[in-house]
Amino acid sequence: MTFFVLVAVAVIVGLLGSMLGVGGGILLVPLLTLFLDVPVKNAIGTSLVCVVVTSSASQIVFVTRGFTNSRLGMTLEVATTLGALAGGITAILVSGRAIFGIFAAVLLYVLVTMARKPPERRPAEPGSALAGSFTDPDTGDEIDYGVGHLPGGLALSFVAGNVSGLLGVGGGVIKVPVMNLLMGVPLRAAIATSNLMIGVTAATGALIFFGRGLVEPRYAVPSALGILIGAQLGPRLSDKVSAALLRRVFEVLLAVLAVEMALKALGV
Amino acid sequence: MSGHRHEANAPLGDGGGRRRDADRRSGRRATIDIVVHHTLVAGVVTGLALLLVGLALTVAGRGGLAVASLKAPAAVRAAVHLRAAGFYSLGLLALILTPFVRVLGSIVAFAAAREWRFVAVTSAVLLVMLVSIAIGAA
Repeated sequence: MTFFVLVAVAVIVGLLGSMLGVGGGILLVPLLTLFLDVPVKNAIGTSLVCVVVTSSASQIVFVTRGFTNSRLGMTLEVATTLGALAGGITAILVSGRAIFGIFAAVLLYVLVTMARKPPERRPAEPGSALAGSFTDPDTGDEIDYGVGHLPGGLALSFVAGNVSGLLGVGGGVIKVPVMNLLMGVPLRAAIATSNLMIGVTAATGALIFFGRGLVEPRYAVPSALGILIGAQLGPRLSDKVSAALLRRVFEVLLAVLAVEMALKALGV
Repeated sequence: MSGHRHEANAPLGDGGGRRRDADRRSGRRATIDIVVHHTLVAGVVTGLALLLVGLALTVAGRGGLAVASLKAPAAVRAAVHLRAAGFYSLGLLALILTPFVRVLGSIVAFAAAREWRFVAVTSAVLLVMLVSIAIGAA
């Protein structure tokens, strides 16, 4: 019975995540811990596997479209994997209540990020070794772009990796704005490159959790299968559902989960 | 948000040399992308197939959904004896290691393209992943 409940929850998370362009971890960890009584560190281990699965499955499509900037992704990934390593070790050592508290803060950050309209950012000039290009599928034009502010990008990528390893989330909600707003990478390339990075980052954290016995097949197998089904269905259903309504549902869900996680942190 | 646009089939003109460099770079990128694509497909398909075999064995009464994941050697032994637990652990491990193999593939692809700077960068990422495997196993 629990198997099918987990599959159903993961399908919904995969659906919502793929339709809104966010990783599933931000929803999966709270849902597993708050409603299915999965211990928080096991929920993080399960979520990291799911993040790896969704990233790999999406990259199969993204890579062939040429949006992913592998050079930029791998460069930032040096900082992100180090962050994930530190986050994974911290998650093993700190109390569950501390993780609930940090998770509540990250949920609020995501809520605020989604609510505010990002400012327009002028693309960086092409020419650097990390520069990339892709064909815009809407216009057929070749888009060349450069990459700016690498030191700042590396520093914030470390933070994104740390959050990923500590909380079992992808961290795309930090990586995409960093690449787009700080480094001047076009949004389409930033999303695809972030997706590549998410998988490598989450795998770094997941390897620690797996070795420590915190990736339990009874949670991870149904969740991985469900999130994959949801992630495949999401893009096909996205045209049939109002984007504004979907976004509002997601925001309310995030707010409720943030309050619940904060209460758990306080021991209420 | 968009970058600097030009027509995909524009003539070379005065910037012909730069354009040829860009084309060579684009060709190398396509090679790297193909390697990455095949790695990802192989990893996801292998992982899912192993999980589905595990589920089939559970239905056949060869063990339930295990509480704890098995380390790789124990998982291989369990799989050889057709125990579901072995396939579940190997399937999850295959999925988790897919980005690891993808990073390995990128190193090979960058080396083939003689982009030594990115060989070094990607090797550093691989090194951090190896440290995480060592910490998990410790």
